[in-house]
Amino acid sequence: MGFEMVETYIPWGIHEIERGKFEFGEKEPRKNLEKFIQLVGQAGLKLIVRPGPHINAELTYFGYPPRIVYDPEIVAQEGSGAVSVHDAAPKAFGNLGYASRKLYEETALWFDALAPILKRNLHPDGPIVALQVDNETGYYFRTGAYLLDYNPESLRWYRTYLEKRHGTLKALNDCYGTSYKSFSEIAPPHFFAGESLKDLPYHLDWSRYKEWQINECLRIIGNMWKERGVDGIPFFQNLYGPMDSPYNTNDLEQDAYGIDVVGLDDYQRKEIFRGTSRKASYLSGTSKLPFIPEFGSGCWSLPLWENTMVLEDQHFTTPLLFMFGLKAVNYYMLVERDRWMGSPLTAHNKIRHSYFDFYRHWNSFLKKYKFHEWDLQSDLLVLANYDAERILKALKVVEGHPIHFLPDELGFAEAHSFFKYRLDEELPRWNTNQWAYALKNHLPVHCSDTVAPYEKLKGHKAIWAVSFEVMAKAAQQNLRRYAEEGGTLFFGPLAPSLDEDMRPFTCFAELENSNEAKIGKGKVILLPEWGEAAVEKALSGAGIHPVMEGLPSEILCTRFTHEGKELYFFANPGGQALSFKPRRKLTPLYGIGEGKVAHEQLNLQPWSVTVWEAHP
Amino acid sequence: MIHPDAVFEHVDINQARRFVDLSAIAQPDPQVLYVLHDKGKVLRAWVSKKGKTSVGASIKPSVELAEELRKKHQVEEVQLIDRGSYHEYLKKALDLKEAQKLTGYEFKERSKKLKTSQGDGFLIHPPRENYEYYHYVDRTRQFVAKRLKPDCVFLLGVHTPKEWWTSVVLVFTGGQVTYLSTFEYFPVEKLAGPDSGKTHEELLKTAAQAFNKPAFGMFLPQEAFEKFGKNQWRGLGETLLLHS
Repeated sequence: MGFEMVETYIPWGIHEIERGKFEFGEKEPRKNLEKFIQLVGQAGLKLIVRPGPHINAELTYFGYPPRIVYDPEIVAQEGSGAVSVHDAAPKAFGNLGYASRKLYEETALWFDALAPILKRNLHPDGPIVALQVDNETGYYFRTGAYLLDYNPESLRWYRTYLEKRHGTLKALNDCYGTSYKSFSEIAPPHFFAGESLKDLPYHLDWSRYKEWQINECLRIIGNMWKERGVDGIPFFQNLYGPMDSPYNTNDLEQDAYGIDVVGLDDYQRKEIFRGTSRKASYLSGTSKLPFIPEFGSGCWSLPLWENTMVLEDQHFTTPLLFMFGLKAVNYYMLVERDRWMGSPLTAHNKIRHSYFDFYRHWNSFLKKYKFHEWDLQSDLLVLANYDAERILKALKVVEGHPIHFLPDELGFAEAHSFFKYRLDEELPRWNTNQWAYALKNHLPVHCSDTVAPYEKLKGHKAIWAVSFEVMAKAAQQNLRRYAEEGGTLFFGPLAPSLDEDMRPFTCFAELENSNEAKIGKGKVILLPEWGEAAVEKALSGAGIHPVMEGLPSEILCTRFTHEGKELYFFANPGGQALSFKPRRKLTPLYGIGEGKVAHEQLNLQPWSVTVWEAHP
Repeated sequence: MIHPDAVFEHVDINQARRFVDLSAIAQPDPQVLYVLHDKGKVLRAWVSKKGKTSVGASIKPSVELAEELRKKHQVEEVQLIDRGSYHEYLKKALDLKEAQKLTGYEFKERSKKLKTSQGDGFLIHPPRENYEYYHYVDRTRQFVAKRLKPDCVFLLGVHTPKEWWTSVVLVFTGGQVTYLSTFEYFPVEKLAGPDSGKTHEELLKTAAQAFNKPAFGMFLPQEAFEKFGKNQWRGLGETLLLHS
């Protein structure tokens, strides 16, 4: 298929024969890890390893030995007071607490045994070129603020975090409007129970703690590898998909946590193209290496999933990811295994030719044109409002649970009239409108969120941040600096007026009396109402124009440049064929049939992505 | 019903997807009124697909009230959920020792049965039939018990005149599924003529020999299968079974 790198899990639970004793092929040849690594090297391939401790991998205990997942000292506790049990088939087991000291002590036994093998085979002496630290570290898909983890050890971490954030008890009491006498007195919230703005910081600190807990867990595990000599190769993490709290991609990729690259996993049917394109665009605007560490190829078999993807999905979504800025992807999985089906290679080494040929064809395009060297035109940076999204999650009066579905909307607190707009209604509306507008107008765009450091902001002609009252001081200051240095900044529907602790704060006092103001060499514009005409006028004024004029709004289009050359991607995200007259003379490179030169009319088949080179 | 170590292989992903798409249509998707309250003080009320609604500032939960609300809001199901009772339910259901002792399927069933353990505090009206991943558990069990044998192979072949639209090969051992595939399992030459009775007989014979168990088969055209599926089990169990 043209791949040059393979990835493998290394499951602790499979190699451990009893606590502290491991089998690496001495008795069972199939567990000979080093032999496998050597075979990879001999085949001229590179290797990515995912040694856990958590791997999921469709294994019964997510790769852990059973003794770990049923140990009450290690298992997390939910906000309801329940022990956190993963209600899985074929066997339910405990979700583990990231603050559990015992978990790290037990993990150390696994790492002690495994590290010498990995160390001997690291690049350049061996084929291992990257290591994934843990797997989808994010509370086992329990994304609600008040679901996990209330284990006593986690609560100790919580108080440590509060001390780290506030510095002194006085500062915390000032922030909360409380009179705690020690950090140990502070109990976490179990649902939103506030009545006014001043009650929010306490609840939001719990969410912040949960974000930090993930990062801290990964820092500890990464360091455990380094202490054992497994170092000098990139470390990465695959957050499982969402881009809001408790997943803080921008923060996690900062130097403090030792994770070089943060990717987001994705398993989507073609119909969900808006979400898929947004995710690729988010990675493009956020990560050092826009990377999807797990992108669905085939599907798990237990349970049979409603989102099962087929080749038709693959044909469309794979190039779509690259179209929106992705640079690296790990197809999960290309070879079937127990509990994984529908891959290009079956468990019996049979080739499914349609799949196989698709990957060969796509890889050949990427290599032939050295696609990784091309730059996505992204004059506009769209920022998700991380503070508003964190608040939204904190405003829950009840959390649904995998064992009893409750609609998300049921949980939003009724009594939060302390904001001008209901965030549960307005935030999704603005986010959806914004991305749909960018797509249908073929804007040169990529995305990130308001946690993005200043370095990620500069270089764009304009930045557009959905904004309400609250925006962190640091975010406001970064955006102010961006505007002062010549950028154009868009807010809407409200200009920030409060900091992350709900204290009056704005870097944009100019917007108090006007919807537009000059700031240094640049300017800031407020879009108080959603209206496409106003948006178009504002963006156009900032020099943001479609990557190609005159395209039908149904078509998706992005533009890449490299050494004076231009590539255009055109996608048809629907079931009807589309045709149009491009305003540039183009030569097809992918998706139409090589060698065919387009003339006046360009036809796009349903659910297709095509790539074209523009004539100078 | 699925053995923890069941083997899944030779699954044609397109056929699996069609099966899932049809099952998703067939699965119960009732309009539900959710009323979240704190010891009677209403926190929020929500009707699925329609959105926020009002049931007053406070309620006194009971089956009678649930029935009254069901009629008034024209929904099929009402859930009156006291937050404290809901948390008590979760504490009872999420038992690590039980998780270790039971299979995952048994654990799911146990969790569902416990939903009625909080009296009027966590009230689902009318009581639900147990379904999981698109299937009514008890009805499926009855079908297996009455129409099949604890040790057998069961083939489901849904066809158009030209192709197999979806298919399943299930091997039961001691009443549990120990093997699952689609007809990709069979050699290609055995699959010619998907609407031919002769082909069906031949597939049954092959399956019986391969797994050394009696084989049962249900073969039907795509339209008939879709019709059965959309009607949620009204008739599929009555389709003539072939027996090797």
